[in-house]
Order: sequence, then C-alpha cells, then structure tokens
Amino acid sequence: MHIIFQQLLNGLSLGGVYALEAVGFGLIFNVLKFSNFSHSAIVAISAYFGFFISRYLFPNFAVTLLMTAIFGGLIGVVIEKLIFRPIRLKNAPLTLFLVNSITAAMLVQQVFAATLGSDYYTYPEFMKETAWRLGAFTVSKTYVIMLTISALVLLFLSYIIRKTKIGIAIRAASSDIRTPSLMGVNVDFIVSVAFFLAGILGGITGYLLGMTYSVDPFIGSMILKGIIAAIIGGIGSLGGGVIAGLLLGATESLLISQIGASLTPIVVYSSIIILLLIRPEGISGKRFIVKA
Amino acid sequence: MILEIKDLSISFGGVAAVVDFSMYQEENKITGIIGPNGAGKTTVFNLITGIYQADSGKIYYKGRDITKLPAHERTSLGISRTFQNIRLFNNMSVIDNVKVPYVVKIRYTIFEEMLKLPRVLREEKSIDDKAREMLGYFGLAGYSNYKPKNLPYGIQRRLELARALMAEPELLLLDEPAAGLNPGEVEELMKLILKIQREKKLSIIIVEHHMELIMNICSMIHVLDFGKKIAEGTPYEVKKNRKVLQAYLGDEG
Repeated sequence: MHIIFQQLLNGLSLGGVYALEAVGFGLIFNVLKFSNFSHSAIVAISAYFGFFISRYLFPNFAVTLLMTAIFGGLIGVVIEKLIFRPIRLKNAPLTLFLVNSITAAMLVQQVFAATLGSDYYTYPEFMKETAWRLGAFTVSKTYVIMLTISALVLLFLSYIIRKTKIGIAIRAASSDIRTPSLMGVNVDFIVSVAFFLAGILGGITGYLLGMTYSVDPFIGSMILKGIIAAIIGGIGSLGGGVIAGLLLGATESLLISQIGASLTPIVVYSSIIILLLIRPEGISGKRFIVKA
Repeated sequence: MILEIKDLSISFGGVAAVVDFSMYQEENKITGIIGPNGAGKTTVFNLITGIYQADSGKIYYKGRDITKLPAHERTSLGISRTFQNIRLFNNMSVIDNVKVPYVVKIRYTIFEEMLKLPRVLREEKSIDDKAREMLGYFGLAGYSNYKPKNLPYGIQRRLELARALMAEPELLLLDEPAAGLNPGEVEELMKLILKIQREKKLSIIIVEHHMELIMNICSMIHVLDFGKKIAEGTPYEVKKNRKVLQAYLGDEG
C-alpha cells in the first residue's frame, strides 16, 4: 500500500512539471494560436544554464532556480523577437509559426548535441538528506520540492493572469489579438510578456528536469508530455492543462509500478488517443478549434 | 477641427479600396459615411485607427500628423471605435471587457502591482469603480459577471459602446452600430448616440447603412462609392444628390 502512495507522490511531482510545461505551452497557444514547440528549446537551454551556474557559480538551490527562471523568460523574449515577431508583423499563416518553432527546437537540440552532447551533466546535490522518513514512508525531498515549486509558480501565474492589468491585456489578446490595439493595448509588448512568462515556466521546467535526471541535448523533448497534457486538458484552458498534467504524471507513475516501464507508455498513449476520440475538446470541456 | 484627412489612398493587391479620400471632422459634431457594400467605408475607419497604413495621403488628429502612428498610440491620443461585427472578448466577463481600454492608462509596473502598494490598491479600486460606473451608464450593471457571448445581440452592441468609451475618447468611430438591431432598438440607439455625444462631448463618425439613423443624427454626410467620395453635404443635400441615388439604385435612379 505505501508503495502505491509513494508512487503517487512521485507521479504527482512529475505531473507538476508536466503542468508547468502544459501551461507554458498553452499560454503561447492562447495568444498566438499556434503550437509552440520552441518551448523545448527554452527548457533545454535553461537546463544547461541551471547546471553551469549551480555547478560553477553559486551552489545554492533557490538562487540558481530563480536565476534560471528569469534567464528562461529572457530566452523566451529573444526567441519571440528573432523568429516569431518578424513573421507576425507580416501576417504570415499559422503553419509558418509552427514550422519556425519546430525548426528552432531542433536547431537548439543539434547545437547542444554537437557541443555538449558527449557528456551527461548532473546538478550538484543540493540537499544532504535526499529523503524524509515519515513512519513507513520514504519521501524524496526532490519530489516534494518539485511539487511545491510547481504549485507556487502556477499559483503566481494564475494570479497575474486573473488579477493584474497585464493579465487582463493577455486575456484580451487571447480572445482576439486584432482588437486590443484598438483599446490602446500595445500588442507587441503583450506578446513579449506572454513569451517572458512562458519562458519563466520553461526555465523552471528545465531546471527541475535537469536536477531530477541529468542534462543531455534531448532534455527539451520531455515537454512532449506537457503538450499532451495541454491538449488533454483542453487547449486554451490553462487550468485544464494543470489538472491533466497532474493526472498524467500520477497515472504514469502508478502504471509503471503495476505493469512496468515498457508497457506504461503504450497504455498511456493509447488511452490518450481514445480519450480525445471521445472528447476532442479535452477534459475542461471548452470547445476550441485547434489550428496548426 | 479634431480630424483632418487629406487625399488618403490604399489598395489591396492592386485593387483600389480607398482613393484620394478627404474629410474634416468638426468637434462635437456627428458625421456619417455612407455608401453601398464594398465602397470602402470600413477601410476608412481602419486607416483612421491604424489597422491599415495608407499608401498615400495624411491623417491629422488635433493638428498632429498620425498617419504613421501605430494603432494603440492613436487610441491613447483619444480615438476609439466599435466594430461592424461585434468584437467583444468572449472569454472574459463583461466587467473585464470594459476594463481593457482603461487598465493601459494606469501607470504602474507589475512589480508594484504584486507588492500591492497602497497606490496600486487605490488604482485598482478606481479601475473597478470606473468600469462599474460605465456599465451603469449604459444600463449594463446587471450583466457584470456574464460572458458577452451569452448576452442578446442588442446588449452586446451597447457593451461594445461602453468599452469604446472606457478609452476616454474624444473622437468615436461607430462602424454600423445599427446592424442587426430591430426598429425599436435602432430608435433607442439613436437616442443613446445623441446622449453620449452631448454628455461626453464627443466627436462622432458613423458608418451605417441605416439611412434613417444617418439622416436623423448626422450634421454632415460623406458618400463613398468604389472607394471614391461621390458626394458630401448635409442630409438634405445628400438626399437630393443625383449621383448618390445612382450609386444606391443603379442607373435608373
């Protein structure tokens, strides 16, 4: 019984990272209506950045996490300025955004493979004790911290989107990107902010993934689970993405303990296909037309 | 004179949409732009608000050349509009919809906002008060927490008007405000436009097919056909104009 509980906790904390990925992906989808695979580039770059600063600069967990988060945000802004803004200002079709985002993701992956690909990089051990004992349970500190951080970050983001003036402008742009400029909203700035926020999530994702596993050039491809969570959650609904991320993480973990690591992905992926056949709008129930 | 347009032209893929259009807008006056479908009326609005950049010609707002200014800066100078096809933010509540044009006027950074400085709290309250006051002014107070798409069409039109006024404009552009309204609602709309013009001291330009509305409330009318101005004048003059009758009714007119 307590094995299942432990698996559930591990699964939830991994699910928390999926939720971060789903929201980072969903935020850009909401505003610009395309699937932003370049989010994986932010995750990968941040994972390496987090490794290098925590290994060689400040061996302090909180400081380096914060630095990586902000760094991820800045990378998001740079990526938007470099590859999305020029085509947006030319009113390019959404397919081109998709192509640019995939190309950027692969480019970053290949650059890391060519330069740092021969090695695995492991984050320093931040905590002397890696587990807490609670009676019969052993709780991994890393997992608890991961879950806590994901929750805090998502609450923070939800506050910004729901309550602040920048959040009102982001929601307006998500509803109809052509109109807010006629309300005096600088849409270019709002798009930058959206990429900054998504980038912060990507930076934290990269850091947490790098800290839990190790950093390799393909670490960015782990956002695929987050993208799946965003779609199951009902793309367009950030809350749905969070729930789907947690569910996905927990289900995976439980299945691995019950039927093994090789069968689990098969069961998970086929369930997702069946779920979306039955409910194409995802679990949040919002009808949303997915373009590109 | 609040707005002056000089020889404005734009074409799309070789097709001239607006050709050498000029007009003046006097302060505190209501002007109409009429013309058959595809005459370029909405394009003129899109040029004034900055959705399109003119190929040639100039736009002056209160004496300032705004021809190249981006849309959001024109709005902050005091130009606001509604849309032919209602463009409300359907994923947001009615009250958040009307807050959009107002929040950008408030100057504080997101960091101050998160720290909840007293000034920010005051500003937040002022945004909320202002939004509620505006909804009340348009008789929409009861709909604050609704999503716009669930509201009747006439209410959505009024909400768009409320939102446009939250930008605190001096020049208001109304793009077919009577479209889809029944005769009773058009009557109400006419009164409403006259009321906001008077009480908010607005200059208004209306694009409209509804002749009764145009003839009743506009002091000056411009008639467009195939992107060109074919007539201008008072409602009486325009009604008598032979070219206008031809444009609307064909050559037999």
